[in-house]
Amino acid sequence: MRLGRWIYTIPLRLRSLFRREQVDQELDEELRYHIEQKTEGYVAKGWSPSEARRRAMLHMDGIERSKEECREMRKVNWIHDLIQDLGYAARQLRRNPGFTVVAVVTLALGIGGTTAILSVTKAVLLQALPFPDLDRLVMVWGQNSELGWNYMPFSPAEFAAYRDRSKSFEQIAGVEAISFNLVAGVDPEVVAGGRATAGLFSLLRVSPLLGRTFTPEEGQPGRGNVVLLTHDLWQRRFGADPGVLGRVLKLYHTPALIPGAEAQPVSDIFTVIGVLPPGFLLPTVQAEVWVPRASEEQTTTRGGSLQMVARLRPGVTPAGAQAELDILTRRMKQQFPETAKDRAHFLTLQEHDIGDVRPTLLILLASVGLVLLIACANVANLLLARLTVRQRDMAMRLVLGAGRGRLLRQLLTESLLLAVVGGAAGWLLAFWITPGLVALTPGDALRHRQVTMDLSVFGAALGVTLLTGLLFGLAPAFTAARTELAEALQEGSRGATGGTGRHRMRSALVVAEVAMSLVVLVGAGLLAQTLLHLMRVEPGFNPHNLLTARVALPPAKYSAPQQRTTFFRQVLERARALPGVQAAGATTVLPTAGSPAAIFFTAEGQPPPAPDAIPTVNVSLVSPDYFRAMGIPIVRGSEFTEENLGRIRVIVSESLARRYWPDEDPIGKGIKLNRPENPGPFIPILGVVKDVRQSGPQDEARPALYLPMLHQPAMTLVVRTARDPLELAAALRREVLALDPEQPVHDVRTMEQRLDEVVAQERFRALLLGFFAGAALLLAALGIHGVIAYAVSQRTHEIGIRMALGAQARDVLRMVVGHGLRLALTGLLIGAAAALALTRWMSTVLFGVSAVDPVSYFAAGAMLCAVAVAACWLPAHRATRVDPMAALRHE
Amino acid sequence: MLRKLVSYTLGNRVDDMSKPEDLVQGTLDMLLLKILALQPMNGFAVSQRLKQVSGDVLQVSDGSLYPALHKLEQEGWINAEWKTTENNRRAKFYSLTRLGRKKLEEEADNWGRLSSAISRVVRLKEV
Repeated sequence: MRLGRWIYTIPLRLRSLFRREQVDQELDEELRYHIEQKTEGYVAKGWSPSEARRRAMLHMDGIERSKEECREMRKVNWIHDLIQDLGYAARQLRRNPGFTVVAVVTLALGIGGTTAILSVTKAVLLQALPFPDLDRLVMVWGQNSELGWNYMPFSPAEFAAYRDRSKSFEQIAGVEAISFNLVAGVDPEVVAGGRATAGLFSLLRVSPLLGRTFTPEEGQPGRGNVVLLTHDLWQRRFGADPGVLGRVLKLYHTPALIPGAEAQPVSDIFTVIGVLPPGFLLPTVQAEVWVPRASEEQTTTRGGSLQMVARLRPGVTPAGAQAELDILTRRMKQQFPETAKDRAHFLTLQEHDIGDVRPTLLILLASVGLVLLIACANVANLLLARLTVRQRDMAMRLVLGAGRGRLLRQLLTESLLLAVVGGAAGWLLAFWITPGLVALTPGDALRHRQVTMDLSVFGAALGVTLLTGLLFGLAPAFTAARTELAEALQEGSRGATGGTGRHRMRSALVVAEVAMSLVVLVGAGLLAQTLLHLMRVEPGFNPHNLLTARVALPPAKYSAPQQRTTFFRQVLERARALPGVQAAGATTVLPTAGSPAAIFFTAEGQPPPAPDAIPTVNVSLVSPDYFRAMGIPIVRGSEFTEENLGRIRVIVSESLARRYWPDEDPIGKGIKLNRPENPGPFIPILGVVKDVRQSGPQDEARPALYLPMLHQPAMTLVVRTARDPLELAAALRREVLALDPEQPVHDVRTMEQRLDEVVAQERFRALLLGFFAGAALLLAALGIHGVIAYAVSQRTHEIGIRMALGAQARDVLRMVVGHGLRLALTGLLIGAAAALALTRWMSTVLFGVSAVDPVSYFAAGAMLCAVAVAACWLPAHRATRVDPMAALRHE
Repeated sequence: MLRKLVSYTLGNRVDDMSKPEDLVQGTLDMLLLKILALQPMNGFAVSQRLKQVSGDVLQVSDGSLYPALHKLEQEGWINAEWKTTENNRRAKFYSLTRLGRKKLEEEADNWGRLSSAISRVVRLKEV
């Protein structure tokens, strides 16, 4: 039925809209024909032609009125009105470029910033890992509450015990991260690998894109030489060739350390059996290849590297599962008294995935929200000011008979036009910021996510600002329309007050803006100081002109310790021979790469410590010349030399030496790397070096001990150069390949790059909050300027009288700037209180600065005051140039 | 509603002319549709015919006729076409559409029901 109507009506509407002139012409012709016929009729009845025509016209009761009524029947008038209103609104905006620019900039900052940040946030929080029933997937970890270790992996025995006894979990699988040297074709490369017990893929409910996953038989020792490729690696390294199935790869397993015993010879030939679907990722094991883990029998619960992935059984609550875990762990502790774990807990896979970006996102969300609020306050302020200016004009139009609805509609059109222009600018801004934001975001959070500009977020931001605009721009217009016209005209004609209530509202808005800006500024200040503190921390070595690269030898190929030592010695010799190299060394654990293994030790000649307070020391194995290459100063004694290699000598850190031999020379004293009651030789101390912050600038330097050994399979080379270290990267790689064409060098970066990466999160936060603080400052300045400029224009008369009575320019300046400062200071007080309440939540991400740091508060306050003064300056200056006579004549 | 109908004399302008759901308006609509159902004709001819058939009882001013015709056209009930008249002049001729025919049936039904109701009311008063 409706459709049937449209067939007739749509062409008519379109014709009325787009062929308007023709339609009007036809209307003229139709009515003219009628009048002529009618006139002819009257003439035929004997009337004179002019009288006949008059009668005919009379019947039409006003030909123009009839035409207008005919036109109204076309139902497209509102469109013509809208076009008219839009034209008028556009002219208004063009005539007030100051207002327009400020409004558009405000809207763009608020809407664009919000859209960009929320698009990234939504991508992180809502784009989940591609596993069905994701919220039931968890990672289980062991804890040692005494040492504060919260994420301990399990030994095979513990894993088997949990797997067999737990009833809360439907399935439990074990995974561990390992590293491979992949040799396929010319370029050997290092790939991150994962080892999984057979059930992992059925637990995750993932089916492969190609081929199959592991069978339980492949979990038997010696039968697991099959490999699954991730989609990324398949595309990157194998050109997405479906024929990769059945292909044989050389995958050399490269463990970081070989504890004690000789490595078991394992086969390094793997057959590709499948390709995983795109997006497959375990947050804690970001592997590119997956191999089965042999389920060998073990009875010890010491150490272990198995992470447990589990799926909660349907109907089991997290609390219930935790209660069962507590019971199982208590029983386990009775069964394996030597275990270091006293508790177990779990987190969802999703929580691991979002990981350490969460605090960053929360801070960004809070600040972008504040900036949006400030933008809203500014828009409200602008529209209020504008309404006041135009009040007289509106009253006049009402008097002249304009309908109130029509006036409101026109105001609405203006706000809408502003919103569209501002929204478009915001969209452009977001379009420009979002990719930059994604590029800047550190860490893995965005690795498997697509960030696209979010239309719903954009719409919401636009809606919020628009709503504020309507609330503040139209609501007063509504009341204005209802006030007595005469009154409005009178008030307008006095050219003075313009509604003190409205002015008070504008002042309140500015105070709120200043307060919110202060919160953002304080936050930015705290984060900037955190970054500065972190960057200023003395790392304990010289990071400039230092190239670092990791070489991991496969024990399958270099089975004897002597072979590995020889290899690394040769690499270092070749590196030292490269042009521009000043020193070269190697270490098992590079500073910034994490903490080396902590080992119990006993210092010679010291009273034995309490059994529960045996000290530990971080032990690194290093090459000769390591300290010179790193630029770690030798405090006493000497550096390791070639002769020391493999001999038992140690170098200790300054803090350790001072702690145990405060008044003696520590050189020559002995250290036993064991508990006091256990046997072991005391190793003489050869030298003392400065403390190094091993795991990054946030952590205090722990007591450290260095042994001169090169027999471990994985070492990081450190090469000190005279020129840009990266120039040497290719040469270093060449030297290694010359020694073994199957041996990749990876993670080749300068030490400065590594240090930058350590503070990447902090830099990201500080940078973004800096941007927001800038935006907030700008918006606050615009807000203050608007209010003060308006106040000055309203007080021209008063200022004129003051100057006529002898006030100096200085007095006027002081009066106007004082007004602005009073507003700013009120805002600062409120803002300081709010910031004190809010920044407390930030203390976990701060370093070297307290959340109530007076410097940040003072600097932010001073900056806002300066901006307030600057914003007042222009209108104040204008006020001093008021000509008293002109101002008085204004009356 | 009834009072409005009684007080209404066709040809007087009323402000709520544009309300299509209005019954009174519907009456003029129905008359025009009925006239055009017999044969397509131009606006002038419609005004003549209206006077003719109602025996000068219903006075529809020309100023009301054309907006009404345009409304019917915009509703899709009648269709307009420029044609040449007998005396060789161009004029806008209106004819009923399929929709218009349906509308006329509806209106005629409503009218029949309403007028019989009114006459019953009127007769009641006489008793």
